[in-house]
Amino acid sequence: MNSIPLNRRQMLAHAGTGFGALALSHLMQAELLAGDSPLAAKITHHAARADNVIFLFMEGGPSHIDTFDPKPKLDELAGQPLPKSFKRVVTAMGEVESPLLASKRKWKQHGESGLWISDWLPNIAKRADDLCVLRSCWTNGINHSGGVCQMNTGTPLGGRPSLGAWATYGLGTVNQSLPAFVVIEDNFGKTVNGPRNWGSGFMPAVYQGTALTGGKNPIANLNLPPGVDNNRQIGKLKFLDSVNQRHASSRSQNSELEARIRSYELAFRMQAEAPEAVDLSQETEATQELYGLHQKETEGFGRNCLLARRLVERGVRFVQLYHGSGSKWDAHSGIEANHSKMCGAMDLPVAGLIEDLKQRGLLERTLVLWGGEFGRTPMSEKGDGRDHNPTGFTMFMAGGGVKAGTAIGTTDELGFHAVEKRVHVHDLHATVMHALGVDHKQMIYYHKGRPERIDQNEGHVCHDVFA
Amino acid sequence: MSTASICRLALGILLCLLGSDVLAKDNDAGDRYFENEIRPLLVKHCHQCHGPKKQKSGLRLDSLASALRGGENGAAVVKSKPAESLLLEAVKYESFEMPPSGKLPSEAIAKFEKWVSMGAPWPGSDADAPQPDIRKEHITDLDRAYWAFQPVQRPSLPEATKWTRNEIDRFILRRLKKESLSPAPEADRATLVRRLYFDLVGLPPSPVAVQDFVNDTSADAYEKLVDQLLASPHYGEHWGRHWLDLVRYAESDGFRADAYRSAAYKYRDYVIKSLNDDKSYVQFVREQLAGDEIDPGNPNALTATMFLRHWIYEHNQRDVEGQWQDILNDLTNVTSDVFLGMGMGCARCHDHKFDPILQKDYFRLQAFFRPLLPRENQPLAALEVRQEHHRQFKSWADKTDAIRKELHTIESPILLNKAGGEGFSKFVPVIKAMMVKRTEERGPYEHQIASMAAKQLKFDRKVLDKELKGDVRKRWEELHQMLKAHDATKPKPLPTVPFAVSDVGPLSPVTKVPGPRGEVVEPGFLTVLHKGNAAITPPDESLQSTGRRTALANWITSPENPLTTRVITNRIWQYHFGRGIVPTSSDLGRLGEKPTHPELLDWLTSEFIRGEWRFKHLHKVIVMSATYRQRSYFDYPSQAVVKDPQNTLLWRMNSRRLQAEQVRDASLLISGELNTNRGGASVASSEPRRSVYTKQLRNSPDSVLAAFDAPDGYSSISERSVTTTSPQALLLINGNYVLSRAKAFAKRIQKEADGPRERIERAYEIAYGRKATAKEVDAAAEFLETQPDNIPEHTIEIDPKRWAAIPNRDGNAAQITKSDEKLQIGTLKNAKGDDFTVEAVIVLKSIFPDASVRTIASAWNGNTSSLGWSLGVTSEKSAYQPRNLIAQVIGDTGQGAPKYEVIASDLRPELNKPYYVAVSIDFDGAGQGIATFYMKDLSRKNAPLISSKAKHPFKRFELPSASVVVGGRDHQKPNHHWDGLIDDVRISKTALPESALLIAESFANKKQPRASEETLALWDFESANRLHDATPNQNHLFAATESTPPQDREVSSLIDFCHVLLNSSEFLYVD
Repeated sequence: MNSIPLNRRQMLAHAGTGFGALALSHLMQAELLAGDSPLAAKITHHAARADNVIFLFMEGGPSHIDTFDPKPKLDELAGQPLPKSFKRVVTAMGEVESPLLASKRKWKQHGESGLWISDWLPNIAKRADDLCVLRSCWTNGINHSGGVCQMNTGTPLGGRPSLGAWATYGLGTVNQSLPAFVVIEDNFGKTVNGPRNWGSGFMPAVYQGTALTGGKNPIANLNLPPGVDNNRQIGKLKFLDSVNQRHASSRSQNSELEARIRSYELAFRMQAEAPEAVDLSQETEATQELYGLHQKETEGFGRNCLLARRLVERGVRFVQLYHGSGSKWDAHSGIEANHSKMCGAMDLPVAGLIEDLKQRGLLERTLVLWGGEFGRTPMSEKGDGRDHNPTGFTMFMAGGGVKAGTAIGTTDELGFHAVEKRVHVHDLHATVMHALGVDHKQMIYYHKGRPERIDQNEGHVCHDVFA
Repeated sequence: MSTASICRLALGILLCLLGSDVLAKDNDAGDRYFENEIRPLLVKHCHQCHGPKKQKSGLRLDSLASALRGGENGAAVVKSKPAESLLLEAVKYESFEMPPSGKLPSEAIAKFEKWVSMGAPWPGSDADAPQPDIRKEHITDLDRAYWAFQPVQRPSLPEATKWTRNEIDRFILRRLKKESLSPAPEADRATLVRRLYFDLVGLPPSPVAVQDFVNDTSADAYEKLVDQLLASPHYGEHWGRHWLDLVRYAESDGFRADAYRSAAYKYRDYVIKSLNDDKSYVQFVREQLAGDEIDPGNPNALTATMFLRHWIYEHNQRDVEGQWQDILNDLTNVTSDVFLGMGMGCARCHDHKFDPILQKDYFRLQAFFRPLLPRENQPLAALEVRQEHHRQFKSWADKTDAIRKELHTIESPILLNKAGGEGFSKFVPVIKAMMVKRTEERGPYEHQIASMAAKQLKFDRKVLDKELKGDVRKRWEELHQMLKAHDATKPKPLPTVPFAVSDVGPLSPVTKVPGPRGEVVEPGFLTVLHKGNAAITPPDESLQSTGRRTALANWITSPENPLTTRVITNRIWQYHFGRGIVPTSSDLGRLGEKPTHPELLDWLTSEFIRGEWRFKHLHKVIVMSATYRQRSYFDYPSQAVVKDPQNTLLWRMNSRRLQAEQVRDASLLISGELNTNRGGASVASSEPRRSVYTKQLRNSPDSVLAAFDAPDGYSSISERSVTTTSPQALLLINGNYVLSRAKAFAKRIQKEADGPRERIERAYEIAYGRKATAKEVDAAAEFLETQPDNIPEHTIEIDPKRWAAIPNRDGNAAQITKSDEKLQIGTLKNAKGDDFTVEAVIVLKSIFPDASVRTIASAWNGNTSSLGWSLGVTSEKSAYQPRNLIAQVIGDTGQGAPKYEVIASDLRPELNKPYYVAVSIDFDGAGQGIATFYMKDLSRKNAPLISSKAKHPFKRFELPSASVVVGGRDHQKPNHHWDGLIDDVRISKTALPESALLIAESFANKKQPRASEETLALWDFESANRLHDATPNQNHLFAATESTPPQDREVSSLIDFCHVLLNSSEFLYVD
């Protein structure tokens, strides 16, 4: 570690402040020498289109051919096997030779742009002119674990940093009192693979996502322990600070000790600021209604979407929401019932989020990314379901300078394989970083002698998505 | 400076930040920029005409020297001066137009410009020599000349001085002198003993151990301590953990299911025991790579092969072949990382760009593992037993072959199609075809894949009995009778070991380099070290193995291998000093960093070899050195800080944060809770065992260990990160784990010392391994004196079950279902006047079968002659009919004795629905006052606020002396308590008008604070201490559970003091 000639402790000593003063002033707003933190905001490689990302992860794999990618041919060939001309691949449940299953959806073109969106998403359809739909996504992981891992980290095998961790590493954060990378599951603790989806892999833990849980204690250990109130905590922290300052004073060259002292100050600030950030009761009725907070089906995810907006408003760099944590979108059978329910719970909150971001002027600088770990097969499973389809599926973006009201790329006539303008997960990650002003080729982390990149040296920015 | 160049400069700064900020060890940002950005450009666009083959215009651009020297037209590169560098002119097409095939993109030109501006960094001390080609078709002499590939030499020793204690110091001192630096003074004894303890056994010394050492004046006191610690069984528990990091040890599958691997802990115990036994590294490596071939009768050797089982595994992966290839890649990567210290990952897809590692080499190494077969039943028997068993089995198998073949045709289709688990039908045809075959008919690859696929199925032989009918059944039964006749000659099964490996058989599947050419490769080593294929001696036939892994183990542990011994020696140095002589300890290649003391590394390595490849000898040499005994902090000479701020030359010792396990183990030891039992099945992290024995689940890491950078077990970790974040601080200061240790620590201190000063001294000794200074004792004593004032009288640990959410509302509500769960305060502070209003949000779950009242809030002891009030809901047998919102008031009607009166609202809340309710009572002095009740159904969005008014006979009212109670009355009788949820209880000292109620719009829109001057108390149960009054009146509630004693503030302060010590830097760092 480099030593800084005038360190924070000395600075505070000179300024006649210290932890006590910090506590008394009820948290100074001035940045505390954020420059020497690994999370300090960094300069981008090129002008950023977006400052923040909200990644809406539909866990389990929503069907693209029943939502954003209409396939008339599928209805035509329903009941027949996949024509021989289609390339065979290994699928999770081995349903390659099962009969094709028609989509029961009613399709319509929406908005000025005329984007095709099915009747499962009536509210998102109203935002059609804000969407940039990527119909030609593909990935490698054929199972949920590998798929979710890959959509987050680039590879189906664990061990690499997640997209949010890379964004945090490359860009830092402007708000030092809230985590830079926040994850919210809608079904606590059940997301496939658990915390490694938002882990920092081979990077230090400082870049990992912080999982928020529901209720009033969304951040782990944020609340004072039972039996400890503010006065008692401040008493303790002041004493700790004096013990640590005494220890550091004879070791003034060790900047790690400074970082440790500061981590308690920031923790104290987080304690003061985070509860306000997550307090949805401050929102007006109208806003709550926009997100569907007044309806049972949409309330859960609506709250998370609203929370996401409050967080990006406060400078949280990367917010990831899981919808259907625990593979709830996984419609191997009974896709009608499953997707009706899942779409019903997600459609209004997501549309509300986009609308709310837009009316607040936040959408311009916030990239919203929607999708699952893969799509679903045109072939049926168990008569009325669909198997996993990693070879072709849809994701959409909104805001963050993307070309609104467009659909990019195609799948084949049955929606099985991505065909035109194929977008691999690596490309998607490169594109997200590009929107954030980061050149994925230049953002390098050295690990065991290898210059590691987010895209494992394979991604290309999909420039088509940008306006 | 143009805007563009400012941007580029900013970018340069960013790159430096990204590099240095994160990787403290990265001081070669320039070199890396060159390797990543510039060298590829030079190779692609320049070397064809200006390289080793051609030198047009006399110019070569394959070394810095030749670029600086330039060609016929002068210097191509002038360091830091892009304007004077012909290279820049040429690529900008300003004078020469290079490359002639077309102008480079502007980014490429900008890169050249930036590189020259940076001073044209070009890695390698051999900057004068041409660098090797990027795409190497073959290995050059230059490649072979790389330092790490040279045989280990025992260098001659630099001179000794008064400071030097052993050979290490002579090398260190010579290097320091070269920079005009000098070593730091020796650390004091208390520091040394703590350093040695944490470093060698991972635990802090006890106060007695510190005292004994500090007081031991004998000349060999230090050495005795070192010997004692190296002999301690805790040594293996600590150093074994380093090895477990390297081999990506974990105890679960690491995919969605993350199944627990119940046998994996045996490997952990094997590692710990091997280290404690000071097993030679040769044997340690050989057992792990090939224990099944080398020593098939030794359970330890078979356990060691679990090294080859720690890959992540997805139990239902339908792409069986893809998963198998991933496993082989993992084994190749981990082997090259751990044993060879050569990051070979790059070479999986292409020849390594910077090191002489061919893509072919990657697959030659992989070929050693190609025949591997994971086994849950690896036979455990000495070679002679295996031979005899094999002979008997073969003879039986030959005799019964025809019978078994026919049985297979009958049984196999049924067993497969009826198999449970993930199901046979889901596999693709090519895998099904492999599974259908008899084992005897499968090729080795087919058998591997079929076996991996079969792991996904559950076979049940009982289905045969159900499915087989008629003639087939008859024949089937016959065949089994026939087979049975041979039972006498069939050898008894051998004992087995789970979670191990063997080879698939004496023949290996072929290994191909992926790609269109698909070149077949044989097992072989790094071409740069060893040309040609490995010589492989097949082991005894009875082992049914290829001998490939033995050959690999032999090569890795050969004394001639220059990498193995350097790598492990460097690692050991790294774990002692926090930084290796080669800082990138798993990459000794060109992308890694260069050794700071190459000769010392060689001397130590030769010492390791001389000491028969045993760790303890090396440990002792290292920790006995004067270098190791230096102080880590003192007034650093400014010269040292300027010349070597990162202390790479070791002019002092490095202070280090404890690693995750040390933090957890030390806190358990200090609190007196540590259970020092050794080995055995892993335990939950709640058990007070050493952390190395806690379960290591890849998807659910222990939160304390993970917060301190414990590895996740996905890939080999040679150096842990040191993360300092606010969530970590929150975990330490608010988290339950450390707080529990603090409580136990305080208890221990109370027992071991009397009086505050004595306790402080004792705590310092235990936590820091040193005596507290007088100043420190004073400061701590002052804390113990003042902290009680910060601790409220009635803070009680409240069961989290007491809190729940009210439907359609944020936050917590108090849950009260029993009389001892009511919440109360003493007399309401600041209460004056007689009008009052009580409001609350409620959910009522049941009513009493009798006439008792479900009480929302009260200030009444239940005696009808004592003043008081109560707001509640009536029950089944009430005279006012059930579910009537009522107020009970005992007040002054002007007739002397207090009068009891029930004021009923006739508003009837339904069960299990959220309501806002309130009563506001005014006293007019004339007995004409009005009580107004309000109620609003919160389950419906637009439900109206309904109200009712009732006259009451009271003239005056005095707020009573009884405790205010939420959810019951101020007496111990177990009735009249609430059942359900209560939230937002507000008591105001006036009769509030409707517009001032909590439910009014102005509050909902946050236009008005919920507490005003008229508010006596507001309990919204949202503050960190749920029971606190949200007004400044400090009318805090406490839980009235009879069994809860009031908090002992002195004890609590002692706990706080102990908690602070466990949070302190001095506890978390070793000097």
